[in-house]
Amino acid sequence: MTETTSNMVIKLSNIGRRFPSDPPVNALLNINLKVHFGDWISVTGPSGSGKSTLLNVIGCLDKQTSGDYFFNNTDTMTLTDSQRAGLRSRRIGFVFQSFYLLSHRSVIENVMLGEIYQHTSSRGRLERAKEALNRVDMLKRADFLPTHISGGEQQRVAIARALMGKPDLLLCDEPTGNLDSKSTTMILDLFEKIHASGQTIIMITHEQPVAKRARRRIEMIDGEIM
Amino acid sequence: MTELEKSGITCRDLMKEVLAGLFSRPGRTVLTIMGVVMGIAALVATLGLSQTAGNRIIGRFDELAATEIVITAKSQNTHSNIPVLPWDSPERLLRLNGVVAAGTLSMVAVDNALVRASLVSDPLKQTRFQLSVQAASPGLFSAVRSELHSGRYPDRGNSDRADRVAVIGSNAAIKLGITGVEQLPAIMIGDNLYLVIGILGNVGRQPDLLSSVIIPEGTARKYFNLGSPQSVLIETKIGAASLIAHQSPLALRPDNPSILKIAAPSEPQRVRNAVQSDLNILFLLLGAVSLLVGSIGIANVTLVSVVERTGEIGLRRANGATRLHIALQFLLESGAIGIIGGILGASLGVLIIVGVSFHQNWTAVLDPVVSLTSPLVGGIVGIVSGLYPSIRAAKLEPVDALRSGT
Ligand SMILES: Nc1ncnc2c1ncn2[C@@H]1O[C@H](COP(=O)(O)OP(=O)(O)OP(=O)(O)O)[C@@H](O)[C@H]1O
Ligand SMILES: [Mg+2]
Repeated sequence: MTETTSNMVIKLSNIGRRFPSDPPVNALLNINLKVHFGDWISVTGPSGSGKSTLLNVIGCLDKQTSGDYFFNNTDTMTLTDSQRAGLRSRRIGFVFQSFYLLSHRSVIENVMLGEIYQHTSSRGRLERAKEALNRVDMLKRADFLPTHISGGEQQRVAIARALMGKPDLLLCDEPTGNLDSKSTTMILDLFEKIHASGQTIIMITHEQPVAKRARRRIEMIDGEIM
Repeated sequence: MTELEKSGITCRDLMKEVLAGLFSRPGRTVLTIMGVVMGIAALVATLGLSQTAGNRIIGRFDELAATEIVITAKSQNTHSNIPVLPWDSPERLLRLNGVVAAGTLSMVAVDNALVRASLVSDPLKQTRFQLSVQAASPGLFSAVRSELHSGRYPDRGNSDRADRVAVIGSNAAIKLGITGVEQLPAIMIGDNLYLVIGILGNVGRQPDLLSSVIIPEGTARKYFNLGSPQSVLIETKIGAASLIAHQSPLALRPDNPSILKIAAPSEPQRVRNAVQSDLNILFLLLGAVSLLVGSIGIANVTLVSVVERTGEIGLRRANGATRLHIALQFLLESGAIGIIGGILGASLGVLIIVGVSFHQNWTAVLDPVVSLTSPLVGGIVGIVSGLYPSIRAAKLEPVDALRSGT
């Protein structure tokens, strides 16, 4: 099977992440992974197997201690902190288990936060935020405070915020971890929809039914991909 | 390559985030601002009140005494035939910066000549008096702060022409039975007739002038052989007395300044300054302590806020914020608290000054620089107080922030 690098979002080669704690922990060992545009990948594995660590490295929130990580063919090790921040702001969207919505700002303002670190003018931002909210079917709650909407709705707002910056890659760490089964289904349906629109998604979960929805599944144990 | 673009936030967005941060916890923000308001208000009020009170002190300190200098010849046995003070002493002194008025005053030796009102010669009443006759240059009258009851002062022309004119003090006028100058009253000094052109109502200094007959200096030189002025009276600007006292001997007698005797006020200016600076230091200390308390308040609240908002910091970092962006956001929040506190504090301080001054019937005095720099001082206090919490916020690793925050 031949692959062109042009349709590859990320490429990890022999990635290791060693925490210099006492005793030192090798949270990632020899990770090799290629993710193409439009992929929808789930990462499963027992607690402590290194799923979050992997996601943090991919999201440039953390740095690997060995191996090479290419994002859009750029060696991320050569980037400055500010360039890594720029990459996070423009190329990567994050969704977390706890939604991290600012409780004193309205839903739409929370969504608009998704692009303020792109150094773009605020012209058209409101429209883009509405569009993002519309994609997650939350436009009707635009002026609500996050504390006044349900957990599933909050996560949809968080997804809208992540999509706001038009990322190449959506990284989700246990996006349904705090949700009941009905909300979980809604979120997964939403992922289905945005995946269909071409969005690349990597999502961590420890629930097999959730993982099954993804197009490609990765299983981790003790820092290694099985 | 676009991935290499750095992250950034526009000024406008940053300001919006700062304001949103302040308004998200309005109660806490107001309380924190209050700390700065107290400090700045205390500073402004104390500075203003000490200036106001200082002004009042100088008023009480007898402004007249504080601005008067009398210059005479040092040696008592210097005779008038050895001139010590030059005739143009007033002109020389007026060239010094800080001299408001200057004039010469000399006793005229009239050889026991009596003074009487010229026309009235009532045998039943005493009409001849032993009044002192003094010679004055035109500038003397303003130097002693005299007020005319009627008529006018002799001018330079009267003196140059040695006119036989006189101004009499109010007490002398009563003795001589002269009530006004409309009827062109005249007096006799010895055997010579002098036209009374003015009557003094009051004098601020040299009260004996009120019982005297004052003739122009030129007249005294011509008819009474006045050899040189006996004394020079100077009125200075407030606070200039000691400087003028120091400078005038050289201005009058550059050849021999030491022969002059200077009677200057006993440095009330220095006393006033000492009192005022004591007040200032005490008050400033008080204000500084309250401001310090306020700044500790800001530091505290910002630190609490950083801890509370750990999750938010993590999210912002994930969203592309750099350490600098995080630091700036918290720094500007604390700076804004300081600036708002500075503005409100200055206003409150001015209100206190005006209120106290009104209550005490003082004239409120405040250097505008004090109230205008207050927002700046507040802002600096805010930024300095926010420095440590901001650095802590910036140092948080995004992964740690996301793990520990909610
Ligand atoms: N900063 C750190 N210092 C030391 N060890 C760490 C650190 N972060 C993570 N680890 C260790 O790395 C291993 C992987 O952690 P990670 O959070 O990636 O697990 P996970 O698969 O996401 O688990 P879970 O399903 O519970 O979220 C764990 O053993 C953890 O204790
Ligand atoms: Mg995890």
